[in-house]
Amino acid sequence: MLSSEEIRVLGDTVGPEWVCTDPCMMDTYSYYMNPEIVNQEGSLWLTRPEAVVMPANTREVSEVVRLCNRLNLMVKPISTGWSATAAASRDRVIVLDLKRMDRIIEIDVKNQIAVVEPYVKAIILQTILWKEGLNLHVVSCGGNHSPLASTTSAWGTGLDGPSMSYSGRNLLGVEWVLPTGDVLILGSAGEGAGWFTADGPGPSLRGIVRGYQGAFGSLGVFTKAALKLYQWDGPPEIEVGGCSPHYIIKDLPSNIGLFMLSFPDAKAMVEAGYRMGEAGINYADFRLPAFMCAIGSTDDNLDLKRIWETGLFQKIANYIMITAVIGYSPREFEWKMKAFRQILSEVGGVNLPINLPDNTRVPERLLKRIRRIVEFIDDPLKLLRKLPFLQDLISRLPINKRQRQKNLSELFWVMLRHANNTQGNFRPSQAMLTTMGTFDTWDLGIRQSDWIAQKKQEYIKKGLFLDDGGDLGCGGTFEQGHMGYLEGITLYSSKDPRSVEAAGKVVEEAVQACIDEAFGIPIAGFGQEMNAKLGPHCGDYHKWMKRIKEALDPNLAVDPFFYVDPGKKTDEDDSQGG
Amino acid sequence: MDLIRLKSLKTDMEKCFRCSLCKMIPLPVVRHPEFTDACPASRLFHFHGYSGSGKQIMALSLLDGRIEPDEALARAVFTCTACGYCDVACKFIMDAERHRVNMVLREHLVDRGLSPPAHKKVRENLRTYGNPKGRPERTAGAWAEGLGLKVLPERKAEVLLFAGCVPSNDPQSAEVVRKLARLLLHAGVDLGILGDAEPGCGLPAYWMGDRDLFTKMASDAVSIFSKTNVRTIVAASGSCLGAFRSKYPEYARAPDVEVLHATEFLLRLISEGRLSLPRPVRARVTYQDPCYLGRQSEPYAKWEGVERTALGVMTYTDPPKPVSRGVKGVYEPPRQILRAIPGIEFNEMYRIREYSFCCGAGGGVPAAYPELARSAAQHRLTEARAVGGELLVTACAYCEAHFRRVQEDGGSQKQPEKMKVVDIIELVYEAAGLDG
Ligand SMILES: Cc1cc2nc3c(=O)[nH]c(=O)nc-3n(C[C@H](O)[C@H](O)[C@H](O)COP(=O)(O)OP(=O)(O)OC[C@H]3O[C@@H](n4cnc5c(N)ncnc54)[C@H](O)[C@@H]3O)c2cc1C
Ligand code: SF4
Ligand code: SF4
Repeated sequence: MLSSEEIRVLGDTVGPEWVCTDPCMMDTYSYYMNPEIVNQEGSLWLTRPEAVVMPANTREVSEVVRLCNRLNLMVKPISTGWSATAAASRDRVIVLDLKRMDRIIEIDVKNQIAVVEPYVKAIILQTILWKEGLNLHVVSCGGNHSPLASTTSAWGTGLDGPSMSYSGRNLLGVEWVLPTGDVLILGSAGEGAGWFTADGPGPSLRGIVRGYQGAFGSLGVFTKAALKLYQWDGPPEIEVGGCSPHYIIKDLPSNIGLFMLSFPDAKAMVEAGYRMGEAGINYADFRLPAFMCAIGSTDDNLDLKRIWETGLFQKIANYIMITAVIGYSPREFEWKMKAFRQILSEVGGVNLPINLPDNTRVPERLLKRIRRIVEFIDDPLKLLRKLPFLQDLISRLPINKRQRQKNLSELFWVMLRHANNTQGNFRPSQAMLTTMGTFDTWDLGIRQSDWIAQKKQEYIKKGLFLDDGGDLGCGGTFEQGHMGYLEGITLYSSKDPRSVEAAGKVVEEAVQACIDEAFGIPIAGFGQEMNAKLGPHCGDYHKWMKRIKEALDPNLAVDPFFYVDPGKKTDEDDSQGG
Repeated sequence: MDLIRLKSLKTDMEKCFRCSLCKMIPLPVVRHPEFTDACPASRLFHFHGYSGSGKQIMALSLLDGRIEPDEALARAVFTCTACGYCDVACKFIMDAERHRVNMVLREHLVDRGLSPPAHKKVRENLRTYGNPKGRPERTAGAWAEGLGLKVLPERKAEVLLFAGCVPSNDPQSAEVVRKLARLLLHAGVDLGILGDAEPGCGLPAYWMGDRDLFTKMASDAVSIFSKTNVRTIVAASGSCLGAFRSKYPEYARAPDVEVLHATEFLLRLISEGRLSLPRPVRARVTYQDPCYLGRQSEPYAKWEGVERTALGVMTYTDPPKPVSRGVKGVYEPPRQILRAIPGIEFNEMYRIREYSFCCGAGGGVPAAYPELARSAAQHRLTEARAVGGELLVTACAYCEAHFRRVQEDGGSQKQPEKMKVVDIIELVYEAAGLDG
């Protein structure tokens, strides 16, 4: 517990109303997604911070950090707070909630740069940028996340990867309150030359700031970040009708195509990803596994169960990729569509008509019939695959305009506006975790997702994970197909301790497989224990992290949660002499 | 006091994973960067605990025995306008009850004697006078003086006009109800009122977490309604409609007759040709969806079924639990009326319908936390101005009076200029040519 004197000095710094120590409030900063896997005893609660402090500007952040150095306290920064990595890990940690720092400092349209504070949400920035013909990369947890947090500190994958890569690639500089409280501006902005590069002429520490996955708030507080922006050829804004849960876009501009593609196998899907990337056709893409397609096409779990049990999705939706194509001009769009069709027909992909009736509320009788038919047909899409003109023909049939608009809207929200969040995936079992997934090549992603799909089967058979068929590999390509990733998702139950235990186990097994099978550093491979496991196979990066932390944070004034605690030894440290 | 009711909602609480979507309007409808906040409490106080998510997590913490009910918890829970937006936000992405958790948490705190002091007084007033303000300045039926309306149940009528409690203390609001009565009479409606015997709808008791009092007031009101033998009850204020349609069935029982809001009934009269609006009203208007006429008036749907498991660990309800997303509130009738009035230029604000921004009048907030009530209203007035509105139209006595008072008081934040706020009934009255 903080002493009243400590509370007073914090209050003097930020204003007493912006310091909170009430246990009830503190608990709202110790509850996040998936804590039961992080916590050994399976508890839903992470450490309760000593206080939550809300600074209004960089000066206040710096002063609070200096105070922490003096008072033997630690800070833990939080921006929009999606991630459990924003929690405190131990006693005497003060959470710095940056919600009041929500200013867009600058949008440089000509040079395609935005400078933002921590609580600027992606969707707000995007709303402004679209009007300027610009766009930013948004991660797929949804448009209300903090681009600053993602770009400087945590992972960074999203559906617009083909055109805007992942967050780490888009950092053009930061204003950084170091663990000592000093303020450092990195890159060209540090020399007063504008925010156009993070790599000089001022100091360049971009690799240290972020590294591969991010430092998760353990290296100080970023108070401003400059983000790289990209060209946007879509509409400045979009008219919306409908109501929750289905908001419907009125018109899709003619230079945008949104597609749901089905491939006969993984090889064809990978090939399509590479080729579309090379040709610069896909603006955004995402591989949706069959079970997720089924979730997306139903509004409740009873319908999900019924539709899944027909086996239809398992036959037509095993290798689905949603794709957005945008043309700068009608001619460019025409060219892209031509190339798109050609690639599709060469790899055997089908552009699924999205104007067919919805799956929800299908009468039981019809479902039974579908089940019987599906049993006898191996490839229900064979005809469409053989005769591509049929795909176009059916798509154009004015059979169900409402349905078509609804599906187009969903694709628009997911791929371009990042407005339909991943939460739908929590509906079936209330808990979801991710394991594999590396910023690497697209077909490595497939190998990872195959591995995890097989591994999950052991647990599915025991009734510990949701029987989604195993393969919940989700992800897409980055940077014109040069890179890609597929996360291995698992749906488990946070209410069943055995299921939670299995979830923890599968994460560990996945990380071990990354070492054994040379799969690269997985998305779940973060935090001290994991880094110590993976580091020896990857240039001993964990030792460098430790040195960085020691050098930047001599008094341990910033919570080292999910990064490295210089004072803590892991088993691997001992065995590797680290 | 036991935690049974809270416990029954634990699964819902556990479904929160702190995405913070309940702090802002649904992402697909974001249009203007300044008008995306949707929770008045989180917008002003910022700490996560003030958001809808915060209340879920605090309720869970209480159930897990990590915190005790105390004044800090009470402050976090009651600095909330009970607008129900967080429920709408969350149900855009998942099927979990949020508003119910908020309200049951209030009820628990009230049971523990942790109601804000200002609320204790209001509840006492409700208990004694049926009116949150205490002994009303005028009797419940005083607004109708000189109109010659039939008083039920002694006399009989087809339609009962329910005035609500605001007119008893607020002459402007009384004038609105008088105009509504005149409109209905003009359209030939066989109209009656309860006069001085009109009960309070009890909504403030619901807002302040007094479950027993609200249940009693609801039951009493329904019994009184039953005795009138009317075919339809017309509620002048959106707040009363929300109570009748959504909360009475949940806490007591639904009135056994048709219950409509004034805008629904007026629209019916217009479409039946019994009321016409020939007189132009020249004004640029925008419309405030009152929370209890909008999302909080969605009819209560009781669910009776079982929870089952399939595919290993997937749970489902059979039949599926209805998810009330607030989209079945009264949204179209006021808009159709505004469009039917000649001369009106109607512009929507950025946050409308189920994702409308609360004016700050609800939840017992003006009595206990006036700075929150004021901040919400001022922010909404800024939005009304931003869409070029010179007249802010609403359809709830609470919203109208609150907007008016906030502009009269001014508060610490000065508004650039006053905006005229009117109840939609006033515009209909003018357009019908009844104002001479
Ligand atoms: C359901 C779900 C789906 C997700 N999907 C994705 C996905 O597809 N792709 C992806 O990349 N991520 C995903 N995430 C993880 C996470 O939501 C994102 O990485 C997000 O960008 C981080 O959350 P945030 O922006 O809210 O930042 P926060 O949660 O506030 O912070 C994230 C981390 O950064 C640190 N941090 C925050 N602000 C600062 C600052 N100013 N200075 C220093 N450190 C700071 C925090 O301490 C924390 O460790 C998902 C999470 C959930 C719950
Ligand atoms: S209450 Fe719902 S919308 Fe709010 S944070 Fe929790 S899950 Fe997200
Ligand atoms: S009911 Fe309204 S004010 Fe209260 S927490 Fe929910 S959104 Fe905020």
